[in-house]
Amino acid sequence: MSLSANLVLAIALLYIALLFAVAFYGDRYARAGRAAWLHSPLIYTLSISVYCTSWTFYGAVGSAARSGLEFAPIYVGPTLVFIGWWVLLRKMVRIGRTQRITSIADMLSSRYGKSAAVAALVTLIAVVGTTPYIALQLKAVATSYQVLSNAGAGTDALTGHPAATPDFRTAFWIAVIMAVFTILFGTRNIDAQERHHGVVTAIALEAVVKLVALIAVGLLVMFGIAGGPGEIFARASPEILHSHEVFGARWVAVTFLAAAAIVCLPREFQVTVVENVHEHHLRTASWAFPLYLFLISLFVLPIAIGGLSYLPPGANPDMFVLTLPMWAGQDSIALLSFLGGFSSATSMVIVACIALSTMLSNHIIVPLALRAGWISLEAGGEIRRFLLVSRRACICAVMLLGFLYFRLSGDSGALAAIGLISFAGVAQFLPSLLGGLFWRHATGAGAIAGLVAGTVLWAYTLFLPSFDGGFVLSAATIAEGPFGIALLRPYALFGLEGLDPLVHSLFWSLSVNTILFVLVSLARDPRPLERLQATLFVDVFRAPTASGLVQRSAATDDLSMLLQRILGPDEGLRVFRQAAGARDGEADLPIANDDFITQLERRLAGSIGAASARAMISQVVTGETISLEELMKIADETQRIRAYSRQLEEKSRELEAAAEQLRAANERLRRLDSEKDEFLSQVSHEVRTPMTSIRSFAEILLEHRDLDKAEAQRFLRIIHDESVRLTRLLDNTLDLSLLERGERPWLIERIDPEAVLDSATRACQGLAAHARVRIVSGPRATGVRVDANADRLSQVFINLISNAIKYNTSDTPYVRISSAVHDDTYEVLIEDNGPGIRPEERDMIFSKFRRGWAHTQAPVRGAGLGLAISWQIVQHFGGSLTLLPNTGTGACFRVALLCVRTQVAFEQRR
Amino acid sequence: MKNDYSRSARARDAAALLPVLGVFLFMPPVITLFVAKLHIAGVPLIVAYLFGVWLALIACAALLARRLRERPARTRPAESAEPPA
Repeated sequence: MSLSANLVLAIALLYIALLFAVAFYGDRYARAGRAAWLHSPLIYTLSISVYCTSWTFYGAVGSAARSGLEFAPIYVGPTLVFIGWWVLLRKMVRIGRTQRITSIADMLSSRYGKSAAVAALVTLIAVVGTTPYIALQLKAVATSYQVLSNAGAGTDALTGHPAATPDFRTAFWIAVIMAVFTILFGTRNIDAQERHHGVVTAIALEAVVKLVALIAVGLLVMFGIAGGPGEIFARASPEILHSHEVFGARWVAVTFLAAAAIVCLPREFQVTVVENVHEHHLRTASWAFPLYLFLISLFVLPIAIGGLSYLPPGANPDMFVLTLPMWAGQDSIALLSFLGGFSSATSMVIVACIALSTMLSNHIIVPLALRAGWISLEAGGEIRRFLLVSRRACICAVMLLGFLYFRLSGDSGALAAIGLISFAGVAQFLPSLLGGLFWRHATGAGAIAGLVAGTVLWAYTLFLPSFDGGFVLSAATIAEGPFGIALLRPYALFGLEGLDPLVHSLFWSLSVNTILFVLVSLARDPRPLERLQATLFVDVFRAPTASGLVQRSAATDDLSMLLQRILGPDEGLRVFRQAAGARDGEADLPIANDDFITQLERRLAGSIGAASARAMISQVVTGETISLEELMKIADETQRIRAYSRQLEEKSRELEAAAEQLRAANERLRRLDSEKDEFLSQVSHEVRTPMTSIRSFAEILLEHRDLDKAEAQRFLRIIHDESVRLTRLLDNTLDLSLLERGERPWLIERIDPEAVLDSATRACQGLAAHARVRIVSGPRATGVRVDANADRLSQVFINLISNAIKYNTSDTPYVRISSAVHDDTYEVLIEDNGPGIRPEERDMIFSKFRRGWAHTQAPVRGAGLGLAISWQIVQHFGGSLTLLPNTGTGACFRVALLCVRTQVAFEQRR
Repeated sequence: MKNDYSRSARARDAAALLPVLGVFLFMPPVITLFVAKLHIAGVPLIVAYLFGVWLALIACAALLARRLRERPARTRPAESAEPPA
């Protein structure tokens, strides 16, 4: 065999160098804004496949070799979550982006009123659940390295069982290299929301390597060693494929667990939510990531069957992926397979370290440091440096913890089961997470109660017993319960026997978790900040605005100082200016309002988590109150619906009114149109009558030269009169159109309207006498002054009075003229006892070409322009001409003009 | 042809319900119906069923993802607001 330990080591080191180079250039290109493909949905999807760790790469085949299709639910669960992205993942990503969420702990803490307690608790659970998983990865790398580098030692290597003692030295150096990598590319800046492009690119490359490696091994087994799928499956034992038992409670439980893990695992949250560059990438990942899982799982069963049939009996199924190519003498594929396993292990370790270090430094170290006074906001110095150092220290600490865990438990079989145990641990976040996203009334107290109870039960029934008596719980306790109390046996709690340990633990931990979460949440009202955050989370797609809800203010100097100390002077100033620029130079004001503070707080939250950001901002902010009433308004579903329907009603009422107005206007227009038609024919008629007589008399004069002079004179007089009538008609029409367009400037003077009224009455005396109409003078005002044009006003009065005379068909006709002053308004009433105006004509009476008296048998006919002209004139003076409602017989017109304020008193005279 | 609103609303509902269909097909008792000693082109029925359904679900998800891309605008106005950057 040609694979020596040195060659394997050299290739592994080369591969690591490649990863560093890819991460370095990925980071650099992304920073330079080049290489758009780095932001593509494909890279995003590949980075999500950090889900497939070495536990997948080696363990899935092992699991398949032991119990057939049981490996499948691990991949079916995430598939179901991703194809249902529209409901859950989309909401998480949207919230993650709007609230600048940095980790799963930050998400829960932010949702439950930016609670530091929730954040710390979730962080601790995540560390407990993830550290063994990191140890598992280190172990897988060390084991695969040993197996591959011992290839020369003969058939022993093919069993896949490494030497008695694991190679801790290799694992240690791997851990060191991974720590360096993570520190270099995972802590370039403190804003966790700013994407780690270098890391993501390297992870994507590793995702490709592990997929290609597993498919290569699969193809080798299926078509290189065996003769196709038929031959491989023919070699399978019936127990593996045809057992009903696989699809029992454990199948359901593992599917559920994997589905929960894909949203709750800190590393998955990191790549899916925190590292998400564009929300629409999720759309592609919704089918591409399940496809990746599908391809990864496709050859698992053939490889397992191949290992079982070709390798020597007793071979380690967990190393089939590596030992099968070795058995077949395909060293290059064996090497590729080793790199695939190495990739899946390292990518998990890197991302888990970034996620855990962010959580540890944001939610444990910074709050502790704030409380203990290690960093004070008043003293000088940079918080940013402290954050970076703490984050790097956390990476080393997590890595060290993982290594120690491996070192201490390396010999026992405890690590093998840790995959699902870890899943069950983080699945405790699920009730609080789902409740937080969809249930407005979920509270922080409920979340803490549920998390604590669930985690304790998980540890007691699954995690601690997995050490087989090596840690905390002794073997006797596991078998017989503490102090021999059978009811408390970890694997049969409260007498629940006969269940698979995983199903048993999952049942107890998650049901108690959920019940406590719900009950404690229901026990009391959420705090105002919890309520506010609940609305921002649950209604994230309704885009509720929090502005105006929180009243607080801060000195801009203090804010700017705080920002610079946390983000660094340059970055801090830039962010501050940017925020201020968006708010119209608010930085110039000495006091910042809540909108501004919220914006800065959110930016800080992207670096140090919501709880710490709030704690820091609170130190410089004064007078923080949350307007509960406003909050209730947006938070309360029924309130909002009610308000919404009220708005709708209002709107529809407005619409109805507008439609009614439109209908009326339309009706008016239509009537006007027909009026106009009618008038046009009227006017043609009016013009035609004088024209006809003018023409016929002109013809007589032309043809009969022998007419006597008196006769000719009479005819000429008629021609002249008719021409005058014609001119007047045309003059009136012209007058009105000019009036309407406001093109006729008049001299407006301060005049006495009473004098004008008197002269108008006098001018009509002759007409009245001729028609035998009596002019009655009513009460009159005195000492009134109005701003008007005397000639025009007189025209109005004469028009009104002569109309009243001309169309009066009463037996004892009279016209009554009176005037008065009411509240600065001078009004003239001109009444008659004639036939009046018919109701259907009333609102059209001031329109052009109307003859209000057309129905009367009055002998005189006008052109129908008088009232329209009068109306325009009075309008021009700023007054009004109206027809008063019918009071008995006749019509009563009212001219109202605004009085000029004079001190002259007036008296009424009869 | 239905209008755009109904089209995108149906796509959204289908996207939300697709995992429910997946659960139904992958969980007992439905899946146990396919545990039989039958082979399709050399592949055991249960394996063919599992991976077949899996691939079909992925295809449906891809189709729905495309459909939801065509109509990114929400029909409910309150939902259309973009988050602050």
